[in-house]
Amino acid sequence: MKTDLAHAYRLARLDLTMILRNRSALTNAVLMPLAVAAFLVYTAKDSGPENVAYILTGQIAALVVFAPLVNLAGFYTSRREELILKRLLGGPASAASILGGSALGATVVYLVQVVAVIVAAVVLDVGLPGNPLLVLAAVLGGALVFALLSMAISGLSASGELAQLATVPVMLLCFALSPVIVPSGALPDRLEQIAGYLPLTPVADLVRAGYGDALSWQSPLILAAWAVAAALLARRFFRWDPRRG
Amino acid sequence: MSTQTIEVDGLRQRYGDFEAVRGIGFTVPAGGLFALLGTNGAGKTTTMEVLEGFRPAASGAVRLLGSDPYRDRRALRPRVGIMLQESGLIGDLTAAETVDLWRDLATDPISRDEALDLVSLGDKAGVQVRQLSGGQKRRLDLALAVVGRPEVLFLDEPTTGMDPEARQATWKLIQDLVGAGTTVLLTTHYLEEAERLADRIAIMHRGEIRIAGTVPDVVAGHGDRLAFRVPAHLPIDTLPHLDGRAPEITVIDGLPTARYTVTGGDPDGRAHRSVATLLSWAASQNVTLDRLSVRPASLEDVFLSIVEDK
Repeated sequence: MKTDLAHAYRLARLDLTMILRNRSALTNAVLMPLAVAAFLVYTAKDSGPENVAYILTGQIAALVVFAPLVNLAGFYTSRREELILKRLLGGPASAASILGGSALGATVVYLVQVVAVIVAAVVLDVGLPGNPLLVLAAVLGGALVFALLSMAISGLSASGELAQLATVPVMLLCFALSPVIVPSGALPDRLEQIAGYLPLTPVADLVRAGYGDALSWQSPLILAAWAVAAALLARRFFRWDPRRG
Repeated sequence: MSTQTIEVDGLRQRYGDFEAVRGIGFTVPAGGLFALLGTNGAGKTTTMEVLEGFRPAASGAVRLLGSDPYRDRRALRPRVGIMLQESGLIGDLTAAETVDLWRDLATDPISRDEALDLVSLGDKAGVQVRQLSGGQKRRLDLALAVVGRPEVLFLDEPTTGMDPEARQATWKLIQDLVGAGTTVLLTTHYLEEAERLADRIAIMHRGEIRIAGTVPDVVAGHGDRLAFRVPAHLPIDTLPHLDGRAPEITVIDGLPTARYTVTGGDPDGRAHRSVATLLSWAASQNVTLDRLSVRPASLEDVFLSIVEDK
């Protein structure tokens, strides 16, 4: 177990080094999502401080879709197709530490983005979360769920590009229905009900609970249910052998 | 308790309807080098992957260092070095960074310089993997396989893509590792590689081991080969039979060549007797046997006879 953690840490360090070295990876994984968040906050600025707070807290949750889902799905898939995952699996590291290492790297990227948004929230007078542990639980729980989903999507995709493309419907569904940009109350009743069960919704609810909103008992349960479902999907669909030939 | 490092008994493996491995068995003792030969699709890599713990054995018994390689992968991993058929290396890392990564994952690794020097890549330490040639990547992959001081080494076509000099150096490294007690299972397309390195070999074809043993054991019983250029004016059907068989005619440089495989009788003196028969026939026909050659069967002869289902 200790070795697995050490291996996962080493492999996460490798992935972060790769991201920092590769300008397009740095832009896609780190800067672009922050630019989207900044744009949304900027457009909300004129509609009052409550809206700014809503968008900022929503973005803390929404950013989970980028590094731990979109980038990670592409990353797993391209590395699998290039036989890098299998080569690693043939070495001393376990399957859990190889996959967990990349997920850890993506989670670190997400955490850095979250810190940037929290700093922006302080600058824009939204303030710090009253219960940072709830925000941390939301961020880590969300990263876990979306990283597991990325493994499942990777298993169904033939290339890194296709894997990233396959995450787009998930991303759009979450952004459109989960309460990260559009408030739940603005949706028709039926859609609002559906939105409540999307994986991003409990992440957003928990983040906002960390910022002082009431915590629904359903949110942690839905997030835990998604973690189990995503783990089962990852186990069913993830593959180490390339899909090519 | 078994003294065998690798034990395979009745291994079968399927991919859907295709049975890739059909009940094979072999053993490799500690410090031995066993080579699996065969054409593409013979089942060599599938066998290797089961032993490497990548997939469970569908049926049959497989033991590596006394353990199940799939179920006990966690315990076996630090004791095993693997070189896959294709290099899966991270192109953006340098050769040195790649070795460092593997060293960080290993329990008791050799030094980075030692690993790179073993495969003659010391001068390429700072070069990105994507800029290395195919042969250099294979050598780097071999360095990764040995960096953790493995007790067992799996080498799947290790010298493919290497130039002759690198191939010789790799053979020397493998011999040194075996000399130091490492057990090696090797697959190769190069028969010379198997002949040079292996204590024992097995030739696989269509998922089965068709023949196994030491190289002399394997070639024994496959007879002697005689050949000569057929004199220009001589009709083919007048050529003599040897060991009750007519010659096989092949055309080399536009001229027909008669080839005999002589397997019958006492192997001692068989070649001599066959040559005497041929020379006596040549004298009776008043012809000269140009390019007459006599040799025992080679591993290539055995290999070709198996893969061509002769």
